[in-house]
Amino acid sequence: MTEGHAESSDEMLMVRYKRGDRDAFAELVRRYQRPLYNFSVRYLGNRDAAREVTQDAFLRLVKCSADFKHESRFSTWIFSITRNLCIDELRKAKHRNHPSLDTPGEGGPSLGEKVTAEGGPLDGERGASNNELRDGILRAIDGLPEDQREVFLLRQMGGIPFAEIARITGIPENTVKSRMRYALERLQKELREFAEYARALR
Amino acid sequence: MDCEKFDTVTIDLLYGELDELSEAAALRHLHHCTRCRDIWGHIRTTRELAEIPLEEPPLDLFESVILAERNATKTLPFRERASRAISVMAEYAMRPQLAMAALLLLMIGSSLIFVRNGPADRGQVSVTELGTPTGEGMVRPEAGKEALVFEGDPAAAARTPDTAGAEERSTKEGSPTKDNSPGALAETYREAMSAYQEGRYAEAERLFSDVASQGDERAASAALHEGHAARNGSGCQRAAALYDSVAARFEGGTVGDEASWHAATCYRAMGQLKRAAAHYSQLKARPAYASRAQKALLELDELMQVASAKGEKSPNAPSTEEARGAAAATPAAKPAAKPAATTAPPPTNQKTAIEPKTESEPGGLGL
Repeated sequence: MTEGHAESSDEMLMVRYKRGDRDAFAELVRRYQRPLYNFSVRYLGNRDAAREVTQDAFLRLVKCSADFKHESRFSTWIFSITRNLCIDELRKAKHRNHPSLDTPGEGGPSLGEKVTAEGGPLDGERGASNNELRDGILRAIDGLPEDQREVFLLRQMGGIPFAEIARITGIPENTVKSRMRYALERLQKELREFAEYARALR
Repeated sequence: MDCEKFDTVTIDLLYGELDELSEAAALRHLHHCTRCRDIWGHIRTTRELAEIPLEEPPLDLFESVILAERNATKTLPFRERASRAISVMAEYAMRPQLAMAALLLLMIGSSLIFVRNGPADRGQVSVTELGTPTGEGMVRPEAGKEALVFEGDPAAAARTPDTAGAEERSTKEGSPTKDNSPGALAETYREAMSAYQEGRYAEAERLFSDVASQGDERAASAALHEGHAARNGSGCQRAAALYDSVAARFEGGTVGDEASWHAATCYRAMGQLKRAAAHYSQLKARPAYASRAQKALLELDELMQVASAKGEKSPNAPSTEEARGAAAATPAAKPAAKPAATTAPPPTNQKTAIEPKTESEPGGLGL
């Protein structure tokens, strides 16, 4: 990776990749593999599927690189690709009777809970309380209705502005903001018990 | 901003998507509204809580993606590969270094064309005061094209390449080796006349010049014909100077008078009425030319009057007074070493100095 790539914007890297610069592509993968993977995990509730979707998203980028316009935001474009792939994956999972976050298994932990458990502690230095808080948050996020969770993940993990989310999802911007507000209010209820703890951590 | 308005902008404020003015208004509202401040506090805490640290993707994900990309680009459709190649070429083409290199190559290439032809085989060319190119390896201009001619110098004008060449030959190589026997001169004269009759005026002028310079009995005729050849070949500009020279050289003779008449005709044709009038005035005294010269002078006088009446004073059309004054002067009575310049006054001699006075002179009687 060259120093120029580290300082370049996503859009400039994409333009360079279109010109055949593979280092630029590698830099884009470094920057986006983590948020895309986490978005997919939260969207699909399945790490293996999330991994496939993330890889497919980058491959779609390779094949459609000619369609990328420099004026567009790269983050919006790649998250839009990932979201569409996630939707496709969920459809396939439904056909396969694959469980999702919205269909918790009977008598067992939900997929969200399983994902949280599989993920394990992120930081060994954090104590059990932190893990408990994190698990609670993830469970609350996974428990959001799909339309709200989608908006929440795009804004919270992707950092996509509301106007761009409206473009990606094809719904009005005010509807996007309403869904975001409902999602936050719902999370607020779910995380009430952690609120005091969070304030103490601040 | 009221509470209702604040509710609509809460999410934008939370994610920093409000413009500065609206944000300031929202914050001012929060400052004095307990209800909104509570709502804002809760939602902000929730957002901060929801900012969970992202988990790391599988370690082999990066490598898998890079590998998949390489495999995919191998099988890219032609359109994709073509557009990528065009992009790469365009990127290089737009670089200023490449443009500079191309310009440099162009300059080197174009200069090589000239270098390959080599410098012209001209040697050193020097220009004399008379405008005659001299020097070793000098390349003479093509026949029929004028070389260096100093404006206003009929002598220089007369030295166009042909005559210059003739002079050069006569001075450099002609004398020691040339056969000056009467028989040879007669042959040269015959060749000159033949060339003149066949329209090869440049050659005729050169040959006549050779004969005229020898001073035998054919010299006068040859000199006059040299003027004719110059007039037919190059025009009056050169011929007038030659006629002047012949008129001065053979003054009083038939050839001198004939040359003077032709000189006048040339000057008249060139619009130099003053000079023409001077020749006609001189010829008035010759019985063979008296009537013609008198008639020509009257015509000239009319021309000058018309020009004066119109107020047109062209550079070559002098006023009547000037013409009359000029008429008092004789043309080239004593030949100068070189014919006089166009702008110089016509040469005068002792005789004409005491001819009838012009009006321009105090107490002059005029013509």
